[in-house]
Order: sequence, then C-alpha cells, then structure tokens
Amino acid sequence: MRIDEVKRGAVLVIKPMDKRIDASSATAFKAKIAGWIQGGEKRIVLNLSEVDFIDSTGLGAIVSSLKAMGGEGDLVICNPRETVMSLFRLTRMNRVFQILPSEKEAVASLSKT
Amino acid sequence: MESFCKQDVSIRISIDSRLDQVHMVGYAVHGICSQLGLGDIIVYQIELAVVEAVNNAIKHAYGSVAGHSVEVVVSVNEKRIQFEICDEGKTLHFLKKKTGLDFDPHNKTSLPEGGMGLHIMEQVMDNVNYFVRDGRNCLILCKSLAKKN
Repeated sequence: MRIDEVKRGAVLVIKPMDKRIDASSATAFKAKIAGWIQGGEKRIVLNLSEVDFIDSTGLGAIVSSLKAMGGEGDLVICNPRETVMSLFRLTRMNRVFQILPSEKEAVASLSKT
Repeated sequence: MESFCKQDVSIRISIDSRLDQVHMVGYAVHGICSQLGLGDIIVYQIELAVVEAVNNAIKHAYGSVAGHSVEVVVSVNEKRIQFEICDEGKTLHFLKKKTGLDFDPHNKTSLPEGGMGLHIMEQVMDNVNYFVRDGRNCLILCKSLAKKN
C-alpha cells in the first residue's frame, strides 16, 4: 500500500494513495502506521481524500492505530468522502475520532495540543 | 428502474476464498446498485455489507485458506435487491445472533478493532438471515427498493 507522508511542524500528515483500505490491505496499512508511531510520531493526521472505500477491517486498522498511540498521542482524520463518512457513522466511530473537512484544519487542531 | 421487471433478474458471481479477490465482488455490487438509481451513500453501504459478508466467509468459514469457492447471487426485482452469499466452510453460529456495537467512545481501550461486520450488515439491510442448506452456509441480505414516505 502506498501512503504519502509529509511533516507539518510536529504533525505527521499521511495520505493513503490506494482507493481501498480493506481486508486485503489493512494489515500492511496498520504496520506502516505502527512504524511511524514506534518512530516517535505522536500527532498524526490521516488524510482520506484519495480513499473511495473502507471496510470494517480497514476501519479496525485505523482504530488500532489510535489505540497504539496511547494516552499521549492523537490521530485526526480529514477529507473523508461522504460515503466513507457513512461508515464512521454506522459504527459510531464518528464519536471517537475528530474528523475535519480539510488537512489545514486537522493540522491546526493537532498543533494546538 | 424500467430495466427491472416484476420477475427476478439474477447474476451469479464466484470468487476464490482470497481477500485480494473480494474487491471484484464489491465492484460488481457497486455497478448493479448504481444502475438502480440509488444514492451514492446507499450504494456504498450495500457494497460494504456484501463485502463484509464475503470477508466473513473467507476469514471465518474458510479460516483464510485459499482454494475454496465463495458464491454471491444477486437478484433484483422492482421491490427489492437480494444477495445470497454461500460457502461450504465452517458454519458461523454468531451470524444467527442479533448484535450491537457496545463501547464507550471516550475510552480508547474499549474500542473494537473487529467484530463490526454483522452490525454493519444489520444496519444497512432490511433483512439478514443465515442458514445451512444442502451442506452450504448461506447468508441472505435483502434491501427494499420501495420508496419510503
């Protein structure tokens, strides 16, 4: 799975470039984020602008990444399509994650903390 | 809807029990549902529900072992679209139970990383039924196409 990354101050912005985060790609996706967290990244923005489809295994990988950050870090999501957003609503994960409409707002949100 | 009459029109899709083939089922379901004039969010959610069902068959009925068949029969009429997902693996008794997602959104440690598939299917579809027929496990997902007032 290809994931673009860019550092904005203390915030790491990651953008999956594959259209799907599903059961066949979730393990690789989770491992890549775990590598960044183990490398010391504590503030991560997940930009979902290129992602068309996430299933519950892909969502589980995102949840797992949030949990792996422990109490000190945070993971904010930005730019989800309305379709993908509906998965967060169906599973009530929209109440777990801060989900913002733009990368700029997501970076600003994490830069405040 | 003019292309769908009162009689069922159906299509059969079969894939090997490999997670890297499930997207093909997803694309087919997405294409069919898009032609029914359903909105983007409903189309996405129906694709999602079917993908969850196929993932369950591969991961749990076949234990993620390739070389087995998962069959999806899609049938449509003017009133509803139905998906029958069948496998010949282990019977999944948990699919017979109603389920909910119970967690505290403010407590990170309580968040589920799995077990959300059945909840999604029940939320999206109007009927979810699981049974064994002629030694095959079949999950039926049915969505009404009748306009709700």
